[in-house]
Amino acid sequence: MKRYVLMRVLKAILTIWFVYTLVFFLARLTGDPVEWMTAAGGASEEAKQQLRHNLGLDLPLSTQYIRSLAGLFTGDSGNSYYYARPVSELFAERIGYTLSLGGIVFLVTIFIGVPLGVFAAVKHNRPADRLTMAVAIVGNTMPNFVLGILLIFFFSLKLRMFPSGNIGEPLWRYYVLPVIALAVVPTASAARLTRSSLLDVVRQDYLDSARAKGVREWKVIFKHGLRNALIPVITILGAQLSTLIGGSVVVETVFAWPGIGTLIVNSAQQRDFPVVVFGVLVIASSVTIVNLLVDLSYGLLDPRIRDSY
Amino acid sequence: MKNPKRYRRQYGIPIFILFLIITFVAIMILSLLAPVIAPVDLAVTDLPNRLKDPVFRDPDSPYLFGTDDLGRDLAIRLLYGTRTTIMISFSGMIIATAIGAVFGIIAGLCGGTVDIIISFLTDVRLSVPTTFIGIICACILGANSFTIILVIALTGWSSFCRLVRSQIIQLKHVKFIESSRAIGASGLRILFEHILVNIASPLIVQATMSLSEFILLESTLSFLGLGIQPPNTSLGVLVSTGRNYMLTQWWLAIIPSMVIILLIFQISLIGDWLRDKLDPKLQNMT
Repeated sequence: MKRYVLMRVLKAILTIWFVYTLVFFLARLTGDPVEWMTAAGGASEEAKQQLRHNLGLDLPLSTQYIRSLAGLFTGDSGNSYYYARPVSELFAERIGYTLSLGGIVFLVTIFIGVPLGVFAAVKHNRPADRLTMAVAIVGNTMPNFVLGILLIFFFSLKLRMFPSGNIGEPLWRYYVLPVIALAVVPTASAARLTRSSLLDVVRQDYLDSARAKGVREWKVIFKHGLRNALIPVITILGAQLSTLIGGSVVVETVFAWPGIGTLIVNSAQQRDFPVVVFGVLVIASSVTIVNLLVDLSYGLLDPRIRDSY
Repeated sequence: MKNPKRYRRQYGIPIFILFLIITFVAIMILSLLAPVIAPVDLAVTDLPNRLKDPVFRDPDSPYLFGTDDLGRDLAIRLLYGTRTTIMISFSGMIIATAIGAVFGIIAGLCGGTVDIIISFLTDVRLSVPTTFIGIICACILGANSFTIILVIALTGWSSFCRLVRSQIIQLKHVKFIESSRAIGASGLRILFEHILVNIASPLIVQATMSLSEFILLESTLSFLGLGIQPPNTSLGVLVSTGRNYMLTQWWLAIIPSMVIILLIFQISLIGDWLRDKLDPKLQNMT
């Protein structure tokens, strides 16, 4: 088991390092950022040279790479070309909005998606099940930025119930539409997964023996059934995290949400490479770490996987 | 004796799926024929006729879906936009399937170090969300249709690779393959005659399912301004430009949004049905 954990952690670190290196060199291959910044013209050659020197772009590429890599460990993430401020500061200001949005979406997925799946499984093949699953299938295929546009159209422009974007007072009203736009797909997918997983578990003998002992039906389902049914649900939802993070970038842009997604998209449009590279590092690390945790917990739960290492 | 009703349920096409397939093919044909059907080119502007009402607001309007801010007919732009979206996602899908299948075959057959390296590359790809790979590529290579096809290929190959690899590892030890090896069939012959035939149907299912992802990816990137650039158009570009007129001309954004939803819905349901039909083992997976 120790060896398994060690191997997985090493692999995760290697993955993050590889992604960072790849993006760093790819970003530098596309030419001189200073030329992009001064594309409007009017900058003299000396001024450009001075700018290059200030940004550390006149050093050899290998030195720049080692510096930026070392900077990550000493907490120096470099300066944004556009904002002329440390990249880590820009991220620190915005990450709260992104994490709170993601956290609420996660809670909605667990507390609405899973119960819906249980409900459908209990009413298996009855109209209530069919209806829930039809809604879940439609929800599962709903593209989130399109959903965002539709929500803004109906709830902000027509009904004037919720603001169409950004952030203000009272805070909760600004969260409603982005949360719905982001949560529909994972919630629908959790409902479908829970239903099919629970239906598989319900056929097992140990549920019958629980019933035979006189355990109440709701307790059979929730305590004995759901506990086992949730293992594959959590694994698959963990694997979908990457999609959720990718989606949040787009939804943030639709709602002009002041999170890191909007920051990264705007920086990509302005070719602000330090922000883009750091953003990719943050995202790749969080996806890799969550996948690592899911894998490790799975290894703990299932001895067969543990033994294969 | 076979029960005819059960036979139909097992092998026939349900009416709803048939309807989805027919409408999907109709949309494809219409959009591919856009240059033939459309009376004017997609980029022709007509400023005096800007922001005209569509037929459902003004029955006398000559424009089915109205005109946009530069007086261009939305119906024509919708045809061209769907065409771009479909052509890009299809070419991306073909490239992604090819790369993924080749990598998967190599990883599955060679095993050892090659397999470890390819699996590592799959992990690397999966650790960066698709949208981000799109953002990085658009940032580095500039926003155009080739970048989107490249992004689709770069992001799409991994799921095909995983699928083919696991199928090949399973097949390697199946009796009929071992016996054809025993009677002296060459490796290439086994690959083409036995293995490729057997992985074809899961590969087709995976390709269909991923097509909806690629359509979504194309529209997302174009919507963010990191894909197709005006005056060319795609469904994402139409939503993104229509968005500025939502208070007054809501249909400019809502109609293209509906087309995206419709396409993705059709493809996912057709894909689900194909999967159940071709691979009964996977029936209760999701």
